[in-house]
Amino acid sequence: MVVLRILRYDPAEDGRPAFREYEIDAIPGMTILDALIHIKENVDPSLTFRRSCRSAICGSCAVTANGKNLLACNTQLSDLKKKRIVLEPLPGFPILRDLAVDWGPFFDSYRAIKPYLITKSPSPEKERIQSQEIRKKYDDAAKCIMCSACTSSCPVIWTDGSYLGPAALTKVWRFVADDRDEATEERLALVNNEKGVWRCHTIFRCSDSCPKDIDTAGCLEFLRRMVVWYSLTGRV
Amino acid sequence: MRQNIELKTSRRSFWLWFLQRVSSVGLIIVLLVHMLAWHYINPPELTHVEVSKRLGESIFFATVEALLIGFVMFHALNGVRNVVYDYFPKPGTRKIVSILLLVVGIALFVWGTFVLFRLVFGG
Amino acid sequence: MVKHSGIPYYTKRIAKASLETGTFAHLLHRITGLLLVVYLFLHMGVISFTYLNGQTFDDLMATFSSPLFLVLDLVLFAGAMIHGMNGMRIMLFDMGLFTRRQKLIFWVMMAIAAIAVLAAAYLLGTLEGWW
Ligand code: HEM
Ligand code: HEM
Ligand code: FES
Repeated sequence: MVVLRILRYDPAEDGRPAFREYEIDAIPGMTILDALIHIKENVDPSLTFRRSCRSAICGSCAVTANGKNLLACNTQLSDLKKKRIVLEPLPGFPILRDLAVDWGPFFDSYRAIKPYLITKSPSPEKERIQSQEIRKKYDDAAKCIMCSACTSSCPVIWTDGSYLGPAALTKVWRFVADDRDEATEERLALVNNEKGVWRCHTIFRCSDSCPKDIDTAGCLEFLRRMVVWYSLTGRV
Repeated sequence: MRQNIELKTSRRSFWLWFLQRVSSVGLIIVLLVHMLAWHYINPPELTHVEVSKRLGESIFFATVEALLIGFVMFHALNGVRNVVYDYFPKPGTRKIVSILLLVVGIALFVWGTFVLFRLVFGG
Repeated sequence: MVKHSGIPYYTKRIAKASLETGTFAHLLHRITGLLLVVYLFLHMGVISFTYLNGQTFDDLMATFSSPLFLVLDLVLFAGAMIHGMNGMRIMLFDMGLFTRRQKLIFWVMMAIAAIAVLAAAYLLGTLEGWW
């Protein structure tokens, strides 16, 4: 027996979000997502949550469970080691309905940092070659599945929505570290402000909540050192 | 709804962050000397005459105290600014608080330096 | 759509999050920093009396040498040590060191701070002839 305490909110009913409890038989290996699907199919069809791949690849199912941001699809009920599991929508973003949040602000930040390869030199005949050593530098950052668990876990985001957040900044580092990208200075200039790298206080909730075990805070610090160096040498 | 976020470079935000680290490193040394010397290791009697005498006798010590005022004033008020920025996202609020902290900081710095000056050269 | 952020929300959620080492360290750093600012203002007020009125300064300092204030001085020293060591920890991360070891580093730094406070208490006790 496990009690799932879920924060419910229905915009049509015009009330405040409130908790509702569901008791379910936890079978060994059951993930939080399995439990949610079980409730939706058998107990309460109005329960709303996001999911797609069910295999920790798409990043749709991030929720807050017992105060920690994680993927519902790769966390088993038994991993949480509690008989009572509190599920809430991700903090920092407006709630659309139940566990589904409005990711608008998250992707606004993402779009603002130009999350694509920028090249200026003429294209070579075949592909642009990437050496193994350089690729290793941003292996970590390239693992990101954009689930927003890190950005939403950051206490700065909870009170200051204008902060770009760890996910977007880690993406900047991913392109800055990539030597095929030819817009390093432009990218560093984008994050050299109060919305960017300087608002990070190394609280480490981002690294702690990453389902892919990315050293998010470490990536951000790499990026920040780049901005420091470029600023001191007058290039940003 | 899509919103376009404008990202402009701000050299000032870099310098504030960077000087926060510089003043931190400075404070580690200077504040330690300050606290140990006045209170823990061979302290003088804390009367205005004795304090003034010790500061007047040692250029090294007077310099440390001058550095302390500079480092701590910047570090403390910029620290408060950081905290305010976290909790108050409105640009208007931020601007007012920043200006207020700047004015208070300069005033206290000038006053503190003046007081120290009088102590060093016998007031 | 309903808001899920802001200061009331932050207050509620940060209390729970503060059980995590990183968040605990951050809040500790912030609180000690702000307390030091308060002390700084009071302290500069008192020092001003060396210029404004030397006798008042001497009287105040005599009051501050009572055992109660000496213990408060140790609390101040502890606050400065905790903030300072934590600040060093933050700067280690800024230099790219130990970002994967932040929890361990926090406790190492706090241990160093504790030893320093014990040493300060010993020095103070020796000066005051407590033992
Ligand atoms: C002993 C040496 C000190 C060191 C190594 C140090 C280090 C630091 C560092 C690295 C930060 C930045 C934290 C961040 O970016 O999140 C900081 C913030 C701060 N410091 Fe210090 N500091 C010292 C002394 C002081 C003193 C004496 C005061 C007060 C008079 C003070 C007040 C503050 C405040 C208010 C903040 C902002 C806190 C925050 O943003 O959470 N610090 N300190
Ligand atoms: C152990 C406790 C402390 C003692 C006994 C002490 C003692 C003193 C004394 C005697 C002076 C006047 C002489 C001078 O200007 O150098 C002074 C000044 C000063 N102290 Fe401290 N101090 C202590 C801790 C601190 C701390 C923790 C800070 C920083 C937050 C600090 C910051 C200052 C500053 C900025 C001045 C210069 C004030 C001015 O010139 O107006 N002190 N202190
Ligand atoms: S459902 Fe795709 S990551 Fe969990």
